[in-house]
Amino acid sequence: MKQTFDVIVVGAGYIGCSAAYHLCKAGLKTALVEQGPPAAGASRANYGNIQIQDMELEKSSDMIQLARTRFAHLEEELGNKVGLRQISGLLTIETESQWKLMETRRSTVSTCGIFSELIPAEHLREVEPLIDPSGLLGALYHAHEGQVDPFKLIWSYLVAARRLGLQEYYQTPVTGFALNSGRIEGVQTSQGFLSAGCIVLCSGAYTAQLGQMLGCEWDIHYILGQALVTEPFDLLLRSHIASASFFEPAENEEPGTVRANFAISQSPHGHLLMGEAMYEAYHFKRHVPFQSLSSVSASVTNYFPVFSKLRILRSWSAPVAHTADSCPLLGPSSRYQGLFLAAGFRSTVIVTPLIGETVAGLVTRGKLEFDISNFLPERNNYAH
Amino acid sequence: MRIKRSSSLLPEVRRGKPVNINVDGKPVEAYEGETVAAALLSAGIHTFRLTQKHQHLRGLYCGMGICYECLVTVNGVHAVRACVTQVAEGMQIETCKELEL
Repeated sequence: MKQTFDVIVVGAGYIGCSAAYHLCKAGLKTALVEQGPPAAGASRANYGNIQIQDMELEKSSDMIQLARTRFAHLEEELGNKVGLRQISGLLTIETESQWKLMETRRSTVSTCGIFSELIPAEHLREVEPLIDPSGLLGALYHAHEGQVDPFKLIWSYLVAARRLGLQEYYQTPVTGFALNSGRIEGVQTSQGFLSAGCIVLCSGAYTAQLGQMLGCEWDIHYILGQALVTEPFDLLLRSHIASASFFEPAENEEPGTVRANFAISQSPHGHLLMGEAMYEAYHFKRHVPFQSLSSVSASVTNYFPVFSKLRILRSWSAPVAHTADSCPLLGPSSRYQGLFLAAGFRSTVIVTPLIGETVAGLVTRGKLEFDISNFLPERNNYAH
Repeated sequence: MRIKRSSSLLPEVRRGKPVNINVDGKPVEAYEGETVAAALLSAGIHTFRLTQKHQHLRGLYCGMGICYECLVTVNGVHAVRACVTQVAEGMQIETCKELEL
């Protein structure tokens, strides 16, 4: 089997599906290659939150601000409902040092035009009626965040792209790359050779493995993120709530240490998603360690005693990509002509529509709407 | 509906000891070793719960603890899987009970 395309996208998660749609829309003959089914990695195991609270503030603010504007017409563009709704974001503060950290954060985000406020504990119930504020100093509050249904969004991109001629290859791992004097010529897959002059890697946590096949050592690692899912109930939670401790510098922990960083959201279907005990790992196992069950549920019932009656129905665990400087790997590789990366985003949902456009812009050599020089895959001489 | 021995040519139906259980306040026939789902279906109760959003009817589906469709309230504990829970003496079972937070 030999098939020729203009561009091949590797990875059918948020970014890969958005990129595939925008590439098809730009008139390119596009193939999407994925080792599993669509949305199989971190894209199936997340809250679907369109959040700015998680963002890296120094270099990403232009990108995030632009990305936020893309949601107003998203459902219209895709011709499908993606479960879009507005929720707020709350970062709970337990210690004085976290308060200081959040104060700095508040002033920084306000300089990029994003409004947030510090709410003292006694007023927390006005924004989140179910919270038990005892034991908290307060919280940093973003009124304007949002949520989508991850599967509806990814599916909508695929359906729209399919209408424009996308070829999809699922259960098809990439086994190698065809190179010719510094140029990419195609990918070798379990289903045969696919030829294309442009390859876009949207492979999240698996990007480093693909890099090894190319002799590139990109600075992309992963942590395992987990969450527990409860039975559904009426939509009562108004915000996505996470602990400010997420922003405290991590101590030197052994890989494999479970950290019960408190983060909860209610899904558009009413399930309470509670997590996320994260730990850095060297393996791609997808089990949820038994300690997570008690540590995560204890951290949730601590602030939300009302949820102690909820029963946990299931759990998930998935490798989530991250980079040392919290900036994504986005742009052309300097090593091989025709190779592009779009992986390692810190908060993926918010940038999904924008990065799809950006990838199409990169491949067609169009004009980009924001500066990607801080995100180039080979910045800081990570490549050898 | 339960299987009855309708002919002497058929093997005998063997059951555990009778157990007293209540479903939505009414006594229901049940035997030791049966699941809650078996007792409910034998009593002609097919609707175990209503879906949270649209109040659609749900009952036994996979029958092996995977799909979480057959959730009932047992002795006040919400969302118990009827298909993998055995009946016990004095059990109070409620169907279609809404979760009260």
